[in-house]
Amino acid sequence: MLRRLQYEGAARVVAPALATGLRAQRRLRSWRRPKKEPSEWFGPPLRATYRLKEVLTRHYLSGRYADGAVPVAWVTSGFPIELLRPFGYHVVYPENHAAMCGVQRKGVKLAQVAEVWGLSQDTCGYARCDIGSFLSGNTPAGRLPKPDILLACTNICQTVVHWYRTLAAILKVPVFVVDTPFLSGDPDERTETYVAEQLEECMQLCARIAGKKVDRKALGRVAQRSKEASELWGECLALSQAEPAPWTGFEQFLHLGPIVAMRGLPECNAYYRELRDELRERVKHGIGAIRHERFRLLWDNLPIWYELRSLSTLLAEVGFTIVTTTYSYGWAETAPLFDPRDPIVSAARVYARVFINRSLDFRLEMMKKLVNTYSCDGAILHSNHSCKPYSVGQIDLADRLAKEASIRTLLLDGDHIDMRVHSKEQAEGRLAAFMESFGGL
Amino acid sequence: MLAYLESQKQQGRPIVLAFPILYPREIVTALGACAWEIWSQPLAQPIGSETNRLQAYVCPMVRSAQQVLSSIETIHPRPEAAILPHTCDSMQGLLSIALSTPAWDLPFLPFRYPRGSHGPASTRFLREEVLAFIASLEKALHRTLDPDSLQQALNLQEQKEDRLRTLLESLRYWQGSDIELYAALRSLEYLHPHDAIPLLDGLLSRVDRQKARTGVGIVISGMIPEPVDLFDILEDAGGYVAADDYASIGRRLPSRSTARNADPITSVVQRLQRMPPCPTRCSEVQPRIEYLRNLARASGARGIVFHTVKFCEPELFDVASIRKALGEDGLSVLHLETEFEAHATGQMATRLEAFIEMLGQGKAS
Ligand code: SF4
Ligand code: SF4
Repeated sequence: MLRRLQYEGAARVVAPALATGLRAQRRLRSWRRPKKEPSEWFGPPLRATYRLKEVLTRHYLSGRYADGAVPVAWVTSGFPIELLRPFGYHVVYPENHAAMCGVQRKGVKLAQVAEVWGLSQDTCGYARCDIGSFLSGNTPAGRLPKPDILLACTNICQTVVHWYRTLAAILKVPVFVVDTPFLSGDPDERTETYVAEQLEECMQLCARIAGKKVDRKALGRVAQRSKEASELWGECLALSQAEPAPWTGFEQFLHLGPIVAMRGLPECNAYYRELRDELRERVKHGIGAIRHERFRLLWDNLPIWYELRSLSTLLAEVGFTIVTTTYSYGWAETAPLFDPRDPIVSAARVYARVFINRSLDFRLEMMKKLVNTYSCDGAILHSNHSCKPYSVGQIDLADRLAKEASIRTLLLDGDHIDMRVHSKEQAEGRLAAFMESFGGL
Repeated sequence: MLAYLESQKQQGRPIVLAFPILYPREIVTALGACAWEIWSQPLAQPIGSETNRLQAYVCPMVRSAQQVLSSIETIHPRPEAAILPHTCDSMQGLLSIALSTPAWDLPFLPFRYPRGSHGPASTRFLREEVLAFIASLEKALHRTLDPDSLQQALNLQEQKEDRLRTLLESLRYWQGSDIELYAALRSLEYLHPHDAIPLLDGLLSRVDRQKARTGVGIVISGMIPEPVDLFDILEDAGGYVAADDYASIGRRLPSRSTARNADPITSVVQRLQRMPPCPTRCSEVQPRIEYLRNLARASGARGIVFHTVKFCEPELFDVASIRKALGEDGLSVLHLETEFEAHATGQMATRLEAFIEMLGQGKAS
């Protein structure tokens, strides 16, 4: 009971109070400090970024008190989270958490803890970072609640199964894996029926753990909210078709947080409405994310979290901006398939058809579509040491995209978390040469 | 090997390439074909002129597979189809590359073993996947499968496996060198079961239950026994393989079952489900720990050597947990990684020698 009060209190009282405090502090600072010179390369910062911080702070803050108060699940980013919402689960996304560690450049230190424990440096950096965080109790989130269940879905990769099975052995909690078999051709009913059947099995298990009954009406409402949220996210992304683009692809990576971690909650939709309105306003007034947009690029694969700032600056200084990314687009792409009247079967479709679970030909077509609709002049494909499902095939994709979409492409070596396998000088050198090839610099 | 495969083709058995790891081999046999498994680079001739299409951090097994496919035009006998099971993210990536490469002019057959939580939905899906696999192989070979041929192929496969199982359970009494044993076992990658059975009988005739091997027995686990001179180093150091859990050998032997199914498809499905725990089937870690513990106990092995392939994520996750758990039991574990070097590296040799020496002295790591 006390735990529940703490949990609710953190979400409903402390976090909003903290947010108000932060806002007031920000205002006070802006009065006191002499006005900051506008950046030479970037447009004015998005107001929504502050809201994003508030929304995520609230989520993580309440999480500190979640275990013992409500059922807790740790889930992979592509897991059909809608299933859990009606049971009141608090949901933790280890991938988001690892990304947060990456942005704060804490990824390597935490990964090293997992390596000392026994994980090889050749395993996915997200997994090492999170396992290291759990083993050391060190997290920028303050504290992560212990899960009652681990839930993984293979739509992003098979690595998550190995990662979650390892976690399950460490934490001694059950794990449920929803398998979305790889679609080497068109989606087929047989595969999607299999996925839907597993979702049913999983939902029953989650109901048992939560001690609640399955409420299909509530599930339909959640599916409706998720559909709207993904559509709103799609609208936000589409606004970058404008020239100049009102926000960059790297900013999109940061603003992905709620669509990944808070799908199905009203706060998520409210947040993206606010973001969309601000982006619309920027487009209306011709405000670009960078001041002198000259060339527009597509980014493939996860970002290099710890170099977001430096890479954005390097690009912006010479008028380059990332306007679209395959990863961010992935969260909007299958949204229309959600059907609140048939939440399980439609979720099977939505989650089995994510682009990373599809063939190279499919991915190439998707990238060509993005290049066209966002008027891209080039593409950077981040060859990510950590992430085999995203990276295997990128050599072909870079060649074919260059030929078939008539753009310049660059395969950029790196790692989304592990700074030790990323050579900053080499990457910057390659990027500079790539940009020079566009001429006029 | 190529001459053998050529002779198979002459006998009217088309060649079907099979990439690692798990697929229902009995179906290939039932359709009158011969499976040729590609676990590493099997060709003596240099790789085709096609440029490398995989990053350096992709495992050598997938890189070898890509090289074989890139040279497909020059391979004789020409295979009629290639099976690409969904083993891991990298193998799945290769399937995707294969399907989008018209120059690799072959029908590519995926096989998707269910990776979920192994409830009733998984069994249903596996059955459907087996049926879909049959349909696509029939199409590729222009042949039709009849239930009698499948039953015969199942019988043949089981006879072969019974012999292999007996052999692997008797490694302690094997009267020969490990290098010789593994060279012979690797030919199972391409031998038709008709020819595999006499080979295994020959090997079994060299098992003498009155004469146990001396030295330090180990369990060996990993992907494939390559480089093979590792076994010379093991033997010189005073060790021998007491039990095998290589994915290419012992880990593809279904557990014994006395159940007889009227429906051969059900047998195929159950055989796949009865395979030993393996991360490429997304098995849980605990059953694999138990399995290895039992292998060590039954064979009298004093330690476990994981001989994995560089960048192999499925194994790398498991090894960490297994090492912890078995270490607590006092069972020592050594982890060696191979990149399919022609010969074991000096570092591999030193570590293996030191490990055997330590086990010989009865120390725990
Ligand atoms: S392998 Fe790639 S998709 Fe999978 S968890 Fe790691 S970063 Fe994510
Ligand atoms: S060695 Fe490992 S990573 Fe490579 S194909 Fe086999 S299972 Fe996949």
